[in-house]
Formats: sequence, structure tokens, C-alpha cells
Amino acid sequence: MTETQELEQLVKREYKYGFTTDIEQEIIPPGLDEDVVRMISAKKNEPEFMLEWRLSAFRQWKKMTEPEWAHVHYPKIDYQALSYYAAPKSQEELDAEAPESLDDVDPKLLETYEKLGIPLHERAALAGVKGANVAVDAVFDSVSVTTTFKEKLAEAGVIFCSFSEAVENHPELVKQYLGTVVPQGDNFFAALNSAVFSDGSFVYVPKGVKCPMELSTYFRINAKNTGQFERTLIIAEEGASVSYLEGCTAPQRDENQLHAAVVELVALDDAEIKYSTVQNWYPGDEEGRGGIYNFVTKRGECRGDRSKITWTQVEAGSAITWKYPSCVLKGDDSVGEFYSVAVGNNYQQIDSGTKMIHLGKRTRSTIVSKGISAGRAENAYRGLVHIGKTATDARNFTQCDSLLIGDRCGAHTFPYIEAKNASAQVEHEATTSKVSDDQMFYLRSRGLSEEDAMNMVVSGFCKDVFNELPMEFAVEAQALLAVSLEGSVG
Amino acid sequence: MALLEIKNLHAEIDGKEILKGINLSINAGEVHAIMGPNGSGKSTLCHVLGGRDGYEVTQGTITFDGHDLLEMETEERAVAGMLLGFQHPVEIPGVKNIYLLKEALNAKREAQGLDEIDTFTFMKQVRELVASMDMDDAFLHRGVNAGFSGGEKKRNEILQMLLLEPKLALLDETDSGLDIDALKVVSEGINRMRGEERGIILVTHYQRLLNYVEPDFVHVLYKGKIIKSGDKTLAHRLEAEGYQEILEEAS
Amino acid sequence: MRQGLPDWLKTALPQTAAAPATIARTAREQVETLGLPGLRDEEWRWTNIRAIQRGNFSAPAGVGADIEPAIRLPLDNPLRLRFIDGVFQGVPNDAPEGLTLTALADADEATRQAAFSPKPAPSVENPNDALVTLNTAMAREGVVIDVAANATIERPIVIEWLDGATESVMSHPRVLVRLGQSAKATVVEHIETVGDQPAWRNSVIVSTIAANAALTHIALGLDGASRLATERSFASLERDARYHSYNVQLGGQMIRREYDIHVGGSGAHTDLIGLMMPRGKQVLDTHTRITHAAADTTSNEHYRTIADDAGRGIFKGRILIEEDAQRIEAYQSSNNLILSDNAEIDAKPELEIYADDVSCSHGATIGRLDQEALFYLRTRGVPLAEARGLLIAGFAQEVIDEIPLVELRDWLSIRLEERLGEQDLAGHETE
Repeated sequence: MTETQELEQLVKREYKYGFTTDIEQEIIPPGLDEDVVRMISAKKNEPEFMLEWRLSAFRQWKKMTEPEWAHVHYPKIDYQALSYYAAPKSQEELDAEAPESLDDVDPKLLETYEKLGIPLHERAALAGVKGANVAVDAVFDSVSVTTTFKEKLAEAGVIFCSFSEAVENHPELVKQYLGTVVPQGDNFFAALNSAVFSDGSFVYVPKGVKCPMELSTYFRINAKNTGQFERTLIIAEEGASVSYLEGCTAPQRDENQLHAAVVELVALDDAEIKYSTVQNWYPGDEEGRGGIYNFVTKRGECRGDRSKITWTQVEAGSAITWKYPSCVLKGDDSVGEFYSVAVGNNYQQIDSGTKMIHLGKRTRSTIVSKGISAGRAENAYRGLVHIGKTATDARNFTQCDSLLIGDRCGAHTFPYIEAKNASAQVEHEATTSKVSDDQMFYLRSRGLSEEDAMNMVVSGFCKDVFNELPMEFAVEAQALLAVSLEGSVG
Repeated sequence: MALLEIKNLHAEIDGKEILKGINLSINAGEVHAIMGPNGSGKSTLCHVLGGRDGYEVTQGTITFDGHDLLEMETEERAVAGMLLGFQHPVEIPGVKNIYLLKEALNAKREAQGLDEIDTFTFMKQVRELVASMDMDDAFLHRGVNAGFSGGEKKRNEILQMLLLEPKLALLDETDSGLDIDALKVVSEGINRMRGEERGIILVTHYQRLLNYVEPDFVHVLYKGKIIKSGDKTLAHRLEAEGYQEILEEAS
Repeated sequence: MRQGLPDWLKTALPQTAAAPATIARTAREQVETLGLPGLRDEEWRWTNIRAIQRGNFSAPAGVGADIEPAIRLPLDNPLRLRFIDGVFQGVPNDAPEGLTLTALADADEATRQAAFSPKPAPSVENPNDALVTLNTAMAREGVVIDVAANATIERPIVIEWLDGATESVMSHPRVLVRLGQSAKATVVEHIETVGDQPAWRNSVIVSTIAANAALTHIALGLDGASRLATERSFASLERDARYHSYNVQLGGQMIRREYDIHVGGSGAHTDLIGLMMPRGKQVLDTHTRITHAAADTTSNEHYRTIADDAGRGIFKGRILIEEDAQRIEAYQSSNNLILSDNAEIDAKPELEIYADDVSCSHGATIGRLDQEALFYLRTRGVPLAEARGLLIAGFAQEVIDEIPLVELRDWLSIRLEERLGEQDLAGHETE
């Protein structure tokens, strides 16, 4: 076996979250028309403004065509063959309200989250097991199952709940901010999401409040032949700050499943939002069968002066990933950051990156992207740095590196740089290389097994990004890359 | 039984024979210097002993501490107690030195059936060694060799040896690129490793290092063969007379 | 979304062209559906082709042969191949041994076949190639430059594109450059406006470089406020071949220049060096694509742009490494300066890699003069504006310095100095 083949074997990993939960579900029949949109809205007891908003999105979507510019290939999706709403039945019976306590939650669901290692029991969390001091919102298929630590957050004035609850209990906030960062007709998938989204997370941090704990959402797709369309909205008022973590898994299925989420972030003056993702949707098998189509629109707006938005992502799963978490830097002196590790193996396809739109004065952005390609994966970084006419003294720094493992994968870099202001300073650097034989030999001559040596080099390659993750997720991310730097000495 | 026994070693790279019948026997407690002009096969010998891909051994045997070395993977050689000090240590960005040290030490301990070292003991030991090599603690948290000067890289190699305590240390051109101060520190490190239980091979072009680390035996490698062996006076002769004299004498 | 072929262009499609009959026929059929590229085409997102779309250009009716370029390049005994509004003025009769020059119209079928079959083959999928296809359908004028195996042609071969002599004229000339094994030659494109009439030239140069041969290709776009040009250079390299390209663009209303380099033989190497200096409302745009199709090949690309007034500089460079093309070293950099708040720079350095044993990197910067150098100059007493001026001139000079013809290099340096002397280099650094 050649060294390359060995390396390829090393990066092959089994998907350990591939189980399904046998739970009675309510799934509406496949197909999409205005009646379906109305049905979703009705099931959620939404106020009129939400229905109108959805219908307007749906009408725009009907006129749009699916984009084809990304460096990904997949058979045409039949949008009429998908079901647009799936909910655990027991949940449905609770009058579409989130459960008051965990006792109301189907034990099978709790079991699912246990398997995923996600703590939903507040008591357990308080007792200091993994996940302590992290408030969790769990979204199962399209519906938010439970949100923990609600009371403690409420004391601080922080609202953290499912999107449905927010529509019901805080309609004025939803009305004020929904669609202001990602408009309904922004793109094909955002329009579809706007029409049919069923749930998601909502976070509101009032003026001057530092959110007392990390907020976390775990997304799980379970039902067959359904699309998952969740919507997340995070608002940080003047001087507020919040760190939000998102994790995703799905069962192993032979057919592809569509996930088209929208995330909107709004940061007012001096506010700070840190949004971290460890995306581990089912990537499909070694032959490229099955897996999630992850077509996601994520965008944050630094609306206020001196505001800051940081996106950190570890993209390890999904058959196809197509996402560009972006920052619109409107406020003067606002800061946008994007740190990404994207790993593609087997037949995975990734087209991901970011957009940094500089509009305010002295706005700054940093992009660090690390792409790893193995097997027959195609991994593309696509990014835009735009320095607008009004963005005097704006700065961007971009570092974009690709690592190749094996000679049948692809690594691509497509950065767009636009500058319309003479004071702009933009620096973009990109490299592509493989793990060098010298590095492998050096580490092995120090007694490390080939696997450990490989892991060490790869994790070193990703270090700049892992450093940006909250501790909890950094550990998960490292494990995800099969890296064992035990003890984290020093 | 000798610690390292090389018999009639022939090796080639890309079909070109570089080593043409090397015989060498090294016992624990001995320091051997292998000297030779550029292109004589010094680095090839080091790489073959280290188990680097791309070198084909066509004839001969190597026995290390009772094992058939040629049957062992690179990392197996390392945990069995042979450590190669590189002429040009590679840079591995993002991987902290301290991680590598700990991983390497634990790999060796695992092979010996020992538990992983506890962090406190490990850090204490490492800090002492770092100080002894006239290095700064901060260096432990930098990427392996990343952005190191030539001298720092070589100190790092010796530091690893001091920590991993190999049975056989194989130092390839460790003195190249060192200023006099660094040379002294590195030499002190090597001298500290000298001992009854350990063999050391110094591979070098110049006699300079040997002023600080006195070898028990000196071998002259030329065109893939050891053409002359002797004690430390041979190195002095090489310094004084150059390779040409010795080569003529040997042929 | 393609813009359809404008009527004026449709009616101008000729029945006969220089391309071999079947190629010309296919191209004529294709252009009708391809039309012209539009803003919605990814490759044209930054460059507006509207000026051509609305240009209502016609083929040249007949031009005076007595037109001379206003600019004399300091070249040693050049061989001039003059095109006035795209009309070829005939081959010189003093070609040295080893060099054969033939008007495209006089070339044999096989040669014309070669002239219209560049590698990599243009594809109808690619909107850029709509312009190549259009050239194929329209081309009647052109020249074939043949350098025999082992011949070294010392005299520079100068293609003079003298545009704008007559009103609203368009041209679609085609040039074939063939270097035999181990041959060496230098081709210089002298691009100049000779009248103030709007003009559009859509030219294609196809170069084939045999084993161990070396082609130096210098393009000098010297001026032109109303000149529109879409220029395409193909070069395919066999084993150990060299292609050295130098592209200096100093003016033009809208200049889109594209290079397609097919590095197809092991040991081959290409350099692409460029300088663009848009000012006024000029749009200067260079797109390059380097395809490493063979193992053990290298490329080095270095482009710089200085945009002033409401000028716009666009650079897109793609490095494509095909599957199994191992041991590739490819380096690309794009450095840019914006001198005015109305100017714009757009850059897109791309890597597309399907082999693993590669060492590739690219870098792009905008707006960053070396602050340390600036500081150093100021500590030596040079005022800020002058210090900036020195560094900006140095920034451009570094590209000029790469040009292998000494006289040309010196001449360009002086021109550059004059040019920067007319511009405000004060900049944004605070005192």
C-alpha cells in the first residue's frame, strides 16, 4: 500500500450519528403550494403578519431559478416531492407550544439527544456534567423540542427560545428584525426557507447585557423525505454580547435530504455576536450515496458602530455544503471575522466561504479558511471582500489554505476582491499543498504512528481556526478530525 | 552483542547506488564519528537507518538492539530507542513543540508498557531541559521548528534527545549552521547524553564539533564505503591534511 | 444570461472568411446563439461590454496605407507587421533566415486550420469564447509567423495594431505564431490609437511552442481614450518550452485582454507579467488562465495595477492543475494601488487543483505601500507625498524591470515617470 493510500484510509471515518429515532411523527404530504404555506402557518398558530410574510416569500420563490454557479454537482431537486413539515406527534399534541418542562418531552427524543451527547436535563447540566453552563435549544426535524436554562436567562433579560415561541410571545421583535438581514428574495434557498420555515432559535440580548452563558442549538434531521428549514434570528442590542453555538447531525439514509436554513444576526452599537458551528450532517457513504444537501444562508449585519460579528465554522458533514456566512459592516469601526475549517472526504462537495461587505468607516475584517480535501472530495473556498466607496480606511486580511490528501480530490480557491476606496487595504494569501513527506517522516522518526502524525499535522493546519472556537466546541471539533492532543499541555 | 551492527549495506535511490557495502559495529557507551566529504553517502546512511521512504536497501543487514532494523517502520525504530537528529529539521506550523514532545514521549512509554506521563512531571522535566539548553520557555508553545533559526532547530533536536533518552542517537550534521555559542550548548547537550547505556553516532563534514564532543572512534566515509577507521587522531589528521591525503592513502 | 447578437453585428457576418470552410460555417452558426457576453456572465461581472454592444461598428471599407504610428518604440531593427484598423498591410520582404511571414489570406489550408484550432479548444459553454468564435466567423485579415526549428530570430517581430483611423470600425484579425523545436523569437504588440474615432478590435493570437523553444511575447497598449479591444492570446507549450509574457496596458476606453496558456509538456514553464494603469474612465482588464496539463511544469505570474481618477483595473487569474499533473509549482500575485476614491480595483486570483503533489500559492493586495519603506524614506527627510511617489513609481518599475529588451525597458521607465508626474500621489497616510 502506498503512503497516499494509507493516508486516505486514515481520514476515512465512520459516521457515528447515523441512527434514526423511531418516533411517531406527523408529516404533511409532499408538495409545495400556497395551501402548504398556509397550513404550516396555521399549525403554528401564527399571527397574520407572519402568514403574509411567508406568502410573499413563496410568490418570489416561484419566480426564481435554482442557482448553478457554485462548484458543486447534484441531480435536480424535485421540490414537489419533498415534505415541508415534520413534527414529533407528541409535540404536536401540546398545542404547538414548547414543553413546559422536560417531563412533557417524549422520552425517546430525550434518548436521542443523550446519544448525541447533548444535555437537555438542566439538573444534570448544573451538576457539572458535560455542557455545564450552556443553555440548549434542541430542534428535532422542524420543531424546537425544548430550551433549557430559560429562567436563568430570563433573569438577565435574555430571550432564548424557539422561533415559534418568539412569534407568539415577542411578535414585535420578530416583526422588527425578521428578514432585515436576509430579505425574503435574497436567493432561491432563502426565499424557500422564508416561505416554509417551521422553527429554529431566537435570541434577543437587551442593551448592555452580556449573556451569562453560552447559547447552543442542536439540530437533528430524523424524518425521511423531508426538508429541514429552520430559521435563526439573533439580536444583540447596544453594548450586548452573546456567544451562540450550533451543532448538527442526521441519520444515515441512502437518499439525499435537503437542509436550507437561514440565519440572521443583528448587532447594534458596541454589540458583539460570536456564532460557532460544528456541522456534522450525514455526509453520505463511501460511494457518495445519501447525505444532506446543506444549502444555507447565514448573514450578520454589524448595524451599529464598533459592533463585531464572528463566524467560526467546522464543516465536516453533508454531501454538499453550500454556505457563505457573511458580514455586512455598516457601522463605523465595526469588525467582521470568519474562521473556517472545511473537511471533505469520499464524494463530499463543499463550496463555502464568506462575504465581507465593508460600508462603514474604519471597518475591519479577517478571514481564515482552512480546507482539507481527501478521497474524491471537491472543496472550494469562495469569498468576496468588498470595500465600498464609503468605507474609508477599511482593512481586510484573508488567509486561505488548502491541504490535499490523495490525488483524486480537488482543492479550489475563488476569492473575489473589490475595492472602491483609495484608502482600502486588502491582503489576500492562499496556498495549496499536501502533507509533506518530510513532515510525516520527521514525526514518525519521533515515534508517532502514521495516524497520529497525520492527525498532528492536520490539526496544526487547522489551529488558527480551532483557537477561535469556544472550549466545548474546540474539543468536539478536534475529535471530529480524529485528533487526540490529550491533556492539552500548557 | 553490539548495539548497532551494519553488515555489507548497499542502498540506492532512484536506481542509483549510494551506499556500496558499509560495515559498522557500535556498542553501547561508544561515540562514533562518521566523516566524509559532500556526496559520500552520509545523509543517505542516516536516512536508511531512520527508515525513510525512497531508499532501497539492495544488500546487507542492520541489527539494532537485537531487532532486524530493516523490518521496522520508522516509528517502531524510534520507540525501540533509535533517534535521528535531522540536518534540516522540517517546519510543522500550528503544531506546538510541547505537544510533539509529549506525544513522542508517550509513544515511547506506551511501547515500554508504561502509563502516559502525568502533566506535572512532564512539564517539570521539560522546563528543566529547556533551561539546560539555554532556551526560553516560550519556545515550547511555538510551532515545531516554525520560524526557528538554524541554531534553534538544532537545539530543539538535542532537547528531544535529552527527553526521549534513546539507546542510539544518530546526529546528522548537527553542527551545521551553528554559531560558536550554539555549538557549545549543543555539544554540552550531547556530552550529557554520553553514558554506558547509550551509543552516539555523529555524522559530520567538519572536525569542528569533535573539538567539543570527543569521539571514541572515527570513520571516513567515501563513495558509499567506509575507507578508513581510527581513533580521534584520525579526525585531527583530516582537519590538518584534508580528505585528499587520507583518500590517497586508503586507495 | 447572454445578450443577443446585435443586429449591426449580425448583418456584418461575412459569407467567406479566412477560417477553413467547415470551421467558419460552424462558428457562424454558433455566434448567432452565443451573442455577446453580458454582465450576468460570471466572467464579465466587472467589465461592461455595453460600449461594444451599442457601438454599431462596421468592417473597414478601405484605409489609407500611409498611416504611421505616432509612437516610435526604441527597438533594434524590428520587423513590422502593420494592421490599420485590422487590415493587414503586407509582409516585409527582409525576413531573416528561419523566419517565414505569410499573410493569413495566402496561407495554405493546414496552416489556416492551425490558426483556428487553438489549445485549449474554446468552448461554446464559456461566454468568453463567444468572442473567439466571433473572431473565427469574422476573421479575414491576419498573419502567420513561422520560426523554423533551431532558429533564433534576434530582430523583434512587431505587430502594430493601429486602431481608430476610420469611423466606428471593427476588426477581427487572427495571428498564428509557430515556433519549431528549440526556436527562439520575440513578438511585440504595439497597440496605438491613430485617430480619435471609436474603434473595436477583437483579435486572437494563437501560439504553438514546440519542445525546448522559447517565445517572448510583449504587449504594449499605449493609449487611446476611445479604443475598445477584446484581445485573446492562446499559447500551448510542449516539453521544456518557454512562454514569457509581458503585458503593459497604459490606456484604452475598455480593454479586455485574455491569456490562455496550456502548459502541456513536462519541464515547460510560463511567466505572465503585467502592469495596468487605468485613469480617466478607462477600464483595463486582464484575465489569465494557466492550465498545467503535464507533470513537472511551473508557472510564475505577477500582475500589478495602479488605478487613478475614475479608472478601473481588473485582474482575474486562474491556475488550473489537471488530475495527474503532479509536481507542479505555480505562483501568482496580484498587487494593486488605488490613487483616487473614484477608482476601483477588482481582483480574483483563483486556484483550481486536481492533483495533490503541488505547491501553489497566490497573493493579492490592494492599497498597501510598504509602510516600513515609507517610514524609512521619511526619516531620510523625504516628504510624505514624494515618498509615496517614489514608492508608487518603484511599484510599477518592478514590473517594467522584468521586460527583457533593455531599450524598451528604459523607454517605458521614462514614460512611466512622465505619466506619474501628471498624477496626484498624495494618498491617505497621515502626516
